[in-house]
Amino acid sequence: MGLDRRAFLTFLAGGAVGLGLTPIPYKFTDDLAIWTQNWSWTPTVPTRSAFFSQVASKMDPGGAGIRVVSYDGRPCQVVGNPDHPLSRGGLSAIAANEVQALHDPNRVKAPLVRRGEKLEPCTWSEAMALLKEKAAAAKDSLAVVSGDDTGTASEVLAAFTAKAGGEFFMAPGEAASAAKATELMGVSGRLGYDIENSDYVLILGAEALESWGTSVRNAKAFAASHPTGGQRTAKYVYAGPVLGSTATVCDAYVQARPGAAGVLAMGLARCLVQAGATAPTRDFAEFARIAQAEFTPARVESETGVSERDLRAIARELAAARRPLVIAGSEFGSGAGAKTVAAGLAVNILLGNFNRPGGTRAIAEAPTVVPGAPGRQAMYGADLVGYLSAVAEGRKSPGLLMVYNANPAYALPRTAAMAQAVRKAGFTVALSAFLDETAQLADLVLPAATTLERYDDVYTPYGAGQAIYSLNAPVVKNPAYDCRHAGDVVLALADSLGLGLGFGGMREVVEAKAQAMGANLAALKKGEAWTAPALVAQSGVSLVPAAADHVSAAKDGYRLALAPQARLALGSATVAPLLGMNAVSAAELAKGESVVQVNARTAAANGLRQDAEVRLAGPEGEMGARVRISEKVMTGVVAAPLGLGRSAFGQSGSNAHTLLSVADEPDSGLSVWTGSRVNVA
Amino acid sequence: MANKSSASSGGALPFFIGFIAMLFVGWWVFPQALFSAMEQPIRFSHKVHAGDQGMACEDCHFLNEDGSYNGIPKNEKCAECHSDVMGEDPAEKAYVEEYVNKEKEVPWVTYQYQPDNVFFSHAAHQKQECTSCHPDMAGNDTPPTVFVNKLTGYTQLDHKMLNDTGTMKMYRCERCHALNGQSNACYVCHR
Amino acid sequence: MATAVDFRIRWGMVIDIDKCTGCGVCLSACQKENNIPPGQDPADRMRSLNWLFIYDLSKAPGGQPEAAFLPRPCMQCGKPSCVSVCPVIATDKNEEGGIVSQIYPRCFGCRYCMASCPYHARVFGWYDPKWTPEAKELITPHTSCRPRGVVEKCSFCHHRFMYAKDKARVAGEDPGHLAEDAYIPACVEACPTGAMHFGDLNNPEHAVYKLKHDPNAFRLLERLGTDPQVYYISTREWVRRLGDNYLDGEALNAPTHRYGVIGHGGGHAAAGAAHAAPAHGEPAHGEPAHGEASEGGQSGHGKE
Repeated sequence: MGLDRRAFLTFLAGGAVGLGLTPIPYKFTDDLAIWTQNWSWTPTVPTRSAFFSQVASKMDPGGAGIRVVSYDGRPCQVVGNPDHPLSRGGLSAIAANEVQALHDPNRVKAPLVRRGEKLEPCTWSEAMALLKEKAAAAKDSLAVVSGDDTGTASEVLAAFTAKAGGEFFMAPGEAASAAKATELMGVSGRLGYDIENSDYVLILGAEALESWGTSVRNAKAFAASHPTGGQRTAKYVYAGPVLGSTATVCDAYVQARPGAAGVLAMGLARCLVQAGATAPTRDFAEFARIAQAEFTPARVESETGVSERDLRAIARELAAARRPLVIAGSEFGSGAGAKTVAAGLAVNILLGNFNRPGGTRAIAEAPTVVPGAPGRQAMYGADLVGYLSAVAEGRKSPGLLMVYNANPAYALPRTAAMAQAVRKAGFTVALSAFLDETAQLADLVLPAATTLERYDDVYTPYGAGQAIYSLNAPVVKNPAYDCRHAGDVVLALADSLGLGLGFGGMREVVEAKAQAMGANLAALKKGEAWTAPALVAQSGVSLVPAAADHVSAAKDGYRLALAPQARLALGSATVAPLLGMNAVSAAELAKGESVVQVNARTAAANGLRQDAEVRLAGPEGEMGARVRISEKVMTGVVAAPLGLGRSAFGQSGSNAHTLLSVADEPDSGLSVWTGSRVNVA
Repeated sequence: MANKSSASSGGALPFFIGFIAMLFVGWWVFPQALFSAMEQPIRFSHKVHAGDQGMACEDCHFLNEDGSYNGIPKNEKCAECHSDVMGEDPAEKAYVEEYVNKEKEVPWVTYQYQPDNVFFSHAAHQKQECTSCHPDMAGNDTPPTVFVNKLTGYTQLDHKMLNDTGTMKMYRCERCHALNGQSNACYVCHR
Repeated sequence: MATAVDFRIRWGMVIDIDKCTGCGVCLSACQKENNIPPGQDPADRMRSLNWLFIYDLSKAPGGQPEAAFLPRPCMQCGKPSCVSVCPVIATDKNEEGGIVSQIYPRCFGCRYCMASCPYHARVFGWYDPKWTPEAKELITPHTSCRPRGVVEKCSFCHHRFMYAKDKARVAGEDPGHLAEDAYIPACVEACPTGAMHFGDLNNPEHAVYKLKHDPNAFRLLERLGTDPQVYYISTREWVRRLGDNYLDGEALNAPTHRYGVIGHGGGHAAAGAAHAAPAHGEPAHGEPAHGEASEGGQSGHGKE
């Protein structure tokens, strides 16, 4: 039988009828529908059994205790730890990103050494050999920078610097300002604030509920004293240039110029003294004289923008409160110098709250365990910005510059000079987890371990109201990142140079620290925090340093005062967890550009329109931005967001640190930059 | 009109050939092609463990305190006994050498695979008999072959296309829920 | 409007606007909990996937400036307009607890529900999500990963509800009567200032039950008749005024305009978003960043 067309068609017809009697049509369409829902490139999720590890966040300056949730052995998510005194179950926008940072695409995966213009990967043994060679050659001209305010790693670095010969710097910030303030005033111990028990909290400048100090703990204290639908048990008052995160929820808001917190505090001191307040210090009379002579209503009003009437009202409320507390600091986490904090502390002393419930505290320092490590005030003694400026200008030349957990080429004022200094130093080593702006300029980049990969600790972050210690054990070791704790690197370097510090690794160091404090190591390793309520008794406190020589920022032809805004959602000086940054607002970034805010009056006076693209120029640098008109900003002030424009990470926006202008603070030797001014055009 | 005999329209034969051929394709070729057969990486014998060794099901398959189900146990559980080779079976030797000693989890093939959008809670069904959804494995010596649907990734225990022996389809969950007065709201089973 | 169903348990939130600092931890926690793909432009409100959105509110100019932040999750409306328009029933309100479900495989992306939602609570996956190898390490087991082309929305972390019920079952307790803190969404858990409260709106023992009866409690666009399960509290009248489209001088919670009266006053009966510029995105309709222009009778100092 030949197969002609008709036979073929009949064959097909038979097949079609047969098809209807097979499961193919039903099964195939059903499966096809399912296939369209399960594309192979859509990731699958892990199994549900969760494993929790408790650590204290090292990225969060407030040391918030967190729980890391792991699935199938993989850390995946961060939730709050309700038992940790510094977080009580809450999170900060940066602590929430600890796991994101672990997997950040900008992480350094292997040591990088500079060959010509580029950084090329090398092995750890090559890197350590090179480091040893450079460190040996640079003996007595080391410069070591640490940005870790709370960990014993800084002690290791400082001890190494002392032994090898060189200068040690802690990166500037509120903890540095407070350490200097306590030194100037002869206060022993670490400055703390018992915010939970205060019934009147006056916050001058510092974003206490957002990024200052132990921000999560502060927020929880605020929550406890302001029960929803109930009666508040404390009054929170904020004085600053911008109605930012903290001011929005405070019970009262007072407009005050940027960087005016110190002068404002002294104005309050004058009011309190005039109303009869005294302090049990030997130099009280001199302090009272300076306060009344130099912080007159006219001066206070012209420098801070706060009228005498409002000043007196606040002073009256402070005096009338049972447990008042004054917190003074920089509006953006650095640059306030020592006088601001000192003036705030002076007011607290006048209010009689020092070492009392609800007031300021002097918390004992943790015992040092690394032999040769300087004391805390000595560690904070030197001014980094001044030093790096000198390096940039050729007046100082360190043979070896080592930078740990800090990013001078991005996060410090005189940014261009800081970058210049990093390049000019004899040999720069960046101990960094991320290839940030400083690492990109370094001669050697050693990948540092992130919080979840290393042994580390947190002792009493600045702002805490009592001594508190957390110990972190590593949660994960991902072989994709060949990283080491900076502390381990320096200990190994010290050994190889014959300058052994007596410890084999950071694990031994933190365990020794825990033991020296008498803390229960097993409990610490489970993530429980150790606390101690003991306070340091004071004698010989002097108030005059808080009052003397407050310098006003010169206008120098710059029309507007700059109010930099720091929000933890935009990251910190060293880290911007790009995988988790979804909380940037239209008031900070719009159409790929940084947004600066002015109010309608300032805009009219300076010819600025909504959405206009402008350039801001300060004495040290300039940047482009877009204008947004907002009544949240005081007249004569322009607010700019910090934390954008991280060129190393390809981030949009501009780096507002370039606009900060630096002045020298008398007595403390610190550089200050809270009084920056700019022109906008 | 000319008489169109069946011969001129090709005849009944091509029709039947096509018909039979399609039935063959539909009932034999297609199932073979649609499923790929997979074996478990290790010949785990329930008979040895639950039968000879007298272990209870819950010794290895249990609910955790947080409400999740541990499913197929991990090395941690098996290594409680099998940290070293205990018997003479080559399957056990392979397990200890290639998985326990190398600290690698066994990539067991799931018989009753469910896609990610399904949320099934063993805790909610703990009062049911295991065998109301799973085959009785107590006497099983060699794990059955898993047939994985190449299109959907769903699993089955045989080639029969209309059977529902592996991945349970939605209608079965819904029917049992309806018969037992349980909610059939979407979010009860989906995520 | 959909037919309302009465559930024994109604999961709801009370958000204290006077305590929200706009820190964004809730946004962050939500993104991580729910496998929302990273790497989007956070300032692009039209294209990014944020289930929770924080509005940036300002008092009208004049007098002491005041500001507020309003976090807006899905309202889980008692009468959800999104449910009534879905052609394939990818979204429904049929589960005890009253959480409006969103089932991704069933959704084919017509976005009718997005047009229908007066709160703009629903977002659409316009692009293939960028699941880089690093991002894949961060995937949680709680929700499935969505392909592009489906609508998603806040689910009050419904998976946590399931987990809480399972935990109760294993402990031998009744999953239908959970303790107040047994089930809390990620955003509420993370909030450091205690601005967010969560619980069963029908249970007199839960905090939210008492708070919803607070005289300062209000819901967004109440007069549309959606019966949302998210309440807001503010002691400040200007904030409460932003909760709906009030006429100049109209009393708050005026009883005469209950269901579906639209088209009065300034014309836009759509979202209260017309009056509040979104914090994390562009201002709605290009309006400047303060509340409705003529809010007569504002006191110069907001708080007591």
